[in-house]
Amino acid sequence: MIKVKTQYLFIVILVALVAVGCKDDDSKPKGKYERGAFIVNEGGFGSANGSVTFFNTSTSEAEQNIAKVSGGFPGDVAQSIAFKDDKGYLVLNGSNTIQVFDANTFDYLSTIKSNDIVAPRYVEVVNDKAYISVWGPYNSDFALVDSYVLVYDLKTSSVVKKIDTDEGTENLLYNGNYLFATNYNYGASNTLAVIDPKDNSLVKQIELAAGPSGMVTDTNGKLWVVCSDFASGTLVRINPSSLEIEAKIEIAGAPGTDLAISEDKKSVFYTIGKSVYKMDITSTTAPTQPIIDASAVKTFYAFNVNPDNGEIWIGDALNYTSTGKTYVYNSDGTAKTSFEVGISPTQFVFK
Amino acid sequence: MLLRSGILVLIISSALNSYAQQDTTLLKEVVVYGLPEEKYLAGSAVIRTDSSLQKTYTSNHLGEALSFQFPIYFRNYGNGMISGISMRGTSPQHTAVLWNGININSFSLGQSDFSILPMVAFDEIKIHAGGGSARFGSGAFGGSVLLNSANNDRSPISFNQDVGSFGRYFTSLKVSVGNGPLTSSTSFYHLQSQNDFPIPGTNERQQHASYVQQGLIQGFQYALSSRKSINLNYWYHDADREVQPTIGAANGQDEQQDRNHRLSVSYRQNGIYGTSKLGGGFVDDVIVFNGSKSEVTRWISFFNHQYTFAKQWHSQFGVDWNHIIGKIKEYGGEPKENRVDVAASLQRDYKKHSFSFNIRQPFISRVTALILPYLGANLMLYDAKRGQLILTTNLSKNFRAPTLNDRYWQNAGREDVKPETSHSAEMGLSFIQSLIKINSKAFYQLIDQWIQWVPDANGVYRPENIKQVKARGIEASTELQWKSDQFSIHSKITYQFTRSTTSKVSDLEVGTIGKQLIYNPIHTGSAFASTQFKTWTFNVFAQYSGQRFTEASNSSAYALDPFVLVDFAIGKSFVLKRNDMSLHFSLKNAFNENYQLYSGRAMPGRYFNIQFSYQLKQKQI
Repeated sequence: MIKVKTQYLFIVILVALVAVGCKDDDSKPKGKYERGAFIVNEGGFGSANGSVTFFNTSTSEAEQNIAKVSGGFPGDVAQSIAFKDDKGYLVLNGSNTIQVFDANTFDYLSTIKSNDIVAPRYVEVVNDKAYISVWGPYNSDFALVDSYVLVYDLKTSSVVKKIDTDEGTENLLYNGNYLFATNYNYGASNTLAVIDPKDNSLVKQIELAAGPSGMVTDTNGKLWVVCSDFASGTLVRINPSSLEIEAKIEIAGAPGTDLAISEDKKSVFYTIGKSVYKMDITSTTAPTQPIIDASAVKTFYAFNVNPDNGEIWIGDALNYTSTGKTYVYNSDGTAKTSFEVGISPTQFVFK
Repeated sequence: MLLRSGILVLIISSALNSYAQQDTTLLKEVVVYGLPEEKYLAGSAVIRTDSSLQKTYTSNHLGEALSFQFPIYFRNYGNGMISGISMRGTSPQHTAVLWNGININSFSLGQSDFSILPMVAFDEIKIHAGGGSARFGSGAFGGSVLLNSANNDRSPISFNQDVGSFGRYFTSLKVSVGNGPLTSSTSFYHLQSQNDFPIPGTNERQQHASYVQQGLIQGFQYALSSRKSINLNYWYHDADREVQPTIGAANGQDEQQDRNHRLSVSYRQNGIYGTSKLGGGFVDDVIVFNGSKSEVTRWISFFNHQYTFAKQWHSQFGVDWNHIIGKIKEYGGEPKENRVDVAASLQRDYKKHSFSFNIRQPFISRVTALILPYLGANLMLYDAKRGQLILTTNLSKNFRAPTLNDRYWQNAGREDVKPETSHSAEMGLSFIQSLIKINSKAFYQLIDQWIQWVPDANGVYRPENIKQVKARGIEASTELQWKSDQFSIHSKITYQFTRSTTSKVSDLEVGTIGKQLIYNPIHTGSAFASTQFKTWTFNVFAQYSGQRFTEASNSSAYALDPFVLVDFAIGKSFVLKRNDMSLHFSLKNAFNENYQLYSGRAMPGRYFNIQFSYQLKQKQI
């Protein structure tokens, strides 16, 4: 009979528990910027002072210019940012580059440049390839003539393919199956390009309404696109498998280019002027009353809804030459807070 | 008011004339010399560029050179790229630029691109700081830059050849000939640069920033008699640039071409009634940006008459007319505009003091006219062998006509936009001695009805006269000049403190009230020393700019750091009979300063320039 002293048994159990408990501690933070809200600020046009502002949603503190390259601004006219696999891809529409940062520490990693990147807008990373919407050059009448989605291999740092699309290719959305790209061109284009990232083929360009831009997927996996031609607008619902248009809802008034989805993915949000409208996805007509009338906003320039808590975010660019402001509203439409951001806030991304 | 002073001048001059006719002795030929522009500006300073500045920066443009002698800031969009001037805390639309008396600011933008004003094109460059619309017309708020390409070069042939860093080559040739009553002066210049300088702070070379500029200046003078002449001056300038992209940008593709024609023809006559000038001109400015062309054409005619009576009263009266045609497709048509200016000046010189009064009445198609006066005085408070102490003071009201863009831009411009106005006051104290000159000046200017483009109820941007700016500060300079048989030195240090803040602004920008205007440093300085020893010259040029805000509410995150720029130049001259030759070596940005004049646009670190000059001296009879 082995007689073990009880206290030695406790020690063994304690050590075993500690050994198991200390393996793979998942709660240690990966970096200061792991979670929170990111505001992309264009900066002054042609002044190379685009920036990213970080807003810590737990502490409600804003930190300006977190995306630095060699201690300075990342480039000219920051348009959008996308996060994938612990990396942040900041698209600089003016510099024709994509600056790559560590998504958690925002340490600078690398720069994506190519002769084929001329006025890039948005990026989606799928299977280690960056799909970049590119406006292309202007002709002497200031019209776009050659827009496309550029497929860039991140492992080999080289261009794989240029997928030619209608002019003004703008927002991108990958739903796990197809990559969707809206062709906006300020209302002069009216199609939704469907790309299959498995073979980088252009499956179809679906005609929607004039000026398609922002896209979201709802709780049923259906794709919603907001379209605007500066006089009126349309919300289009598309079946992302059959690629058929299921619904077209007319909006009385010209909506902004951003479309957002509620936390439960059962309502879409769009804006007209300084007002925010919320519509149930089962609705067949557009709402007549806005949920927010943001009269304090001088120049409505950025809009999104936080998927964690349904808070509504609005960016104010003022006169495009001063530091801008961001207003945050609760999901019920009451004002929550506001804070200063960089020059011309243009996009909100939440992580 | 104008009519009364006009009648007064007429009465006085005819009274004096009838007095003179009572004398029946042989009439002597009266030669009244035309007085230079500064004569009617008592109370303010008109300063010439130093000859050593003109020599060292022969192949540069004015936006690269003037900051080394004057406390002026230039926002250059890169090396050799578009250059906008800031004088006395104002914006580039608030400095008038005149060439041979003709305003050459772009009438569509209301400002001049100083990078297409090459130093070599001008025989004389003068800077007048402060309000001067009564004298120089629209836009003279912060100051006026007075350029002259006259036909008075003494040497028959002069030639310059420069070779510099980054593939920079400059050639200029000037030939002056005279045959009896006709003299002709032809000047040609050509500048090209690859401009692929290493960008300080990076391992990269500047891409897509090469340029070529060239031009021709032709002057003719035909003397009908010793008192009458016909003058013609023509200047053609051509620029072709790859527009320098921002730091870190890839695939820069923008290109800009500028073509400018400027012609003036005049008849001049000296007589017992004074000096008269009657003439006309033509100005055509073309900008092509990425293949899109915009053009403004102007026909000009002018008349002015100067008369000095009772030896100390100098008077001038003038009328000029501009017919402007805007050929810009964004106007949706070809709007035509007429501008007529009527101006008079009076100066009275006493032994110790002098007083000036100027008045101008502009008339612009469909715009309300305002009268613009300038009143100034120089008062000698103390005059002794040790030196002179002079008090200078002036008051003026100035205006800037709305640009063609403000008035005619399709679906946005408004013909009822008012001109911008300013009220300016200055007071200064100068101590002048043969060796040293010390100047100090305090200035205050209130600019009102400043045009801003703001969105209307439908969100369409339209011009409104809503902004108001207060520009005030002090300027101080010390100048030293000493000359001996073998050695001479000329040195000047200038400092300017300028607070130029917004006092009224559109609803969108309330955060900018009380804030310094962007690209207007609070502290500006310049210093130069030019020395000569026998056949050697050695010059040092330096400029200082304090912190410049690039964001309208003065965020320090968006401010450009202060910098000091120093250039050195050493030269040797060789004389062989009538042949004057010299070789100059310049070290630019000697301390390799990493600076920017406009956010995101790189400027080169240390680089050099070598110049060979040749001049054939006039034959000594």
